[in-house]
Amino acid sequence: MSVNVANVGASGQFKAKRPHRVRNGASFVVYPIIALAVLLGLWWLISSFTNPLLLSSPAAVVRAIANILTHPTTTAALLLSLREMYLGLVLGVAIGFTLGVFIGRFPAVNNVMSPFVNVVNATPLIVAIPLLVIWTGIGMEARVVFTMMVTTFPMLLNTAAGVRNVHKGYVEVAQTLGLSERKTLYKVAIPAAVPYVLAGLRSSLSLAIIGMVVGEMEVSNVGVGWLLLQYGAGLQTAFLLGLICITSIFGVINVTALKIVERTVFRWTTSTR
Amino acid sequence: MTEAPVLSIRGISRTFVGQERDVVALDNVDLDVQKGEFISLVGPSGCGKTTLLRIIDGLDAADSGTIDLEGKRLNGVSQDMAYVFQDINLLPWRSVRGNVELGLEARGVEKAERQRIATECLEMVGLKDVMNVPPYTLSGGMQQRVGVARALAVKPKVLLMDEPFGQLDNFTREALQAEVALLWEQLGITIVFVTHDVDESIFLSDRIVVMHRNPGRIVEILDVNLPRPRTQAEFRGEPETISLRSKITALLRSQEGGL
Ligand SMILES: Nc1ncnc2c1ncn2[C@@H]1O[C@H](COP(=O)(O)OP(=O)(O)OP(=O)(O)O)[C@@H](O)[C@H]1O
Ligand SMILES: [Mg+2]
Repeated sequence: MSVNVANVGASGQFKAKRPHRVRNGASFVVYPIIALAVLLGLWWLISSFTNPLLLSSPAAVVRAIANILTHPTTTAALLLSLREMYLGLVLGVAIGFTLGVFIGRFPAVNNVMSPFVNVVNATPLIVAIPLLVIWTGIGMEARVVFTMMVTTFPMLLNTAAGVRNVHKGYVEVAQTLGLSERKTLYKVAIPAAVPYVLAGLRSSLSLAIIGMVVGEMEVSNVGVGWLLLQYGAGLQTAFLLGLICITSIFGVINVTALKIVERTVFRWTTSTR
Repeated sequence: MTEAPVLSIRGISRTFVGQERDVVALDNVDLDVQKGEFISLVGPSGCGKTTLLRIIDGLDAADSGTIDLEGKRLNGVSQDMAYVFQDINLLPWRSVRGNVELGLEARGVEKAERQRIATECLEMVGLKDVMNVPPYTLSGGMQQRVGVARALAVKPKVLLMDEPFGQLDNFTREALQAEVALLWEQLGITIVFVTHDVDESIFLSDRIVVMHRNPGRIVEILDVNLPRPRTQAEFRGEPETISLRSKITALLRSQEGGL
């Protein structure tokens, strides 16, 4: 806005600038659509002369998606997956955030926890699945706990970094105004860490989907993981591709929701610096 | 000036230990600040102005020396003083008024009262209309007004200001100088003001403390005998201003290249 105003005053470039900005804005929508159309065209072209077992046609995949989304068995599987994913995610994010705040705030806690955190974080958590199964059985618990585990760490590490790296000036404002340690933590340090927390949440969101599918393939065959195995075993390529599309739509919805939250509730994180 | 000083600074020393060399930021600094006084610290970059102000506020600790506020020895951050930072540091997730309320929240003031006081303080600095916007949407001058309102909200006995107008353009700076002078007269508070702008210190102050660097210490304290209220248009041409300006400039020039 201020840019435009300056332009008017300086050299009357308002007319020249404005359409340019509009075109830029539209290109955000237009170019991806063009790219998508090209991709679909290519896909359709290639699939028209390859074995449908290797690559199904777009139309077949669309039919498969419709089928998956309407058939009661498959919708039940999808809903089960979503429920477990969000349950694991909420638990993981809550635990990661809480531990992150403590680790970021108290150097002593950090010293005690960081070797442990680093080792676990460096371990591909999939190796813990057999143990999880022994502990909690092959039910929903193991799958939820697995998703929880994979989503905890990005949240924990980012939150801790955010709370640890609060801009020194903000802390001094709190100090000089006489905020207690506790009030400084929840009125200054935690809000200041929000950009880090959101970055952690973004990673956790994508890991949650992976956690969900891996858990369903490795712990017990239910939900999306089970469907993937079924379709794979049955060489149902169109359904496999359709399910992949559906899963990526889950991811897109998650990320979009987060972006909306960022731009409304936490608008300052995108408006400052 | 027979009254006991509101702020009594005795033997303050502060050395920053560095890897290559130690910096004696303050070397045995004594200073009395009278109640209701406007006092400025002037000196070249690195002479310890900020360090002294931070130690007075309790943001930094001296290696030795004492600070008494109204006869009471200070230890840590005092609730009776407020600090205005050069790089304002408004919290971007709070509204303008939310920022001004922060110190009142620290003191457990309940919400309605908090909002009333914050609104009142914003009114004093002419920003009542923008109290609900986020601070980063304001100009630099307006942001520093918020910084002043935030400090005033806690009703400090002593207001510490560290080059609060250093980053502002000339016109905005002069406007804010006049506003601060007016607020100081109206509120009757004590202000310790850091600047390296000689005219700014003359316009605002009752006394000017000229400092020296390496080691940081006070070289001279000058009285400003200009009647109040002063105006930007007139004070510059006053004989008192001219004489003070040349004295201070000479004191500062004598330590040029003294690193
Ligand atoms: N945290 C610190 N660590 C190391 N040295 C420091 C620190 N703070 C200040 N100093 C040193 O102490 C001396 C005084 O610094 P101070 O910031 O008080 O100067 P100043 O008078 O405020 O200067 P300016 O006008 O540039 O703001 C400088 O030499 C500075 O390098
Ligand atoms: Mg300074």
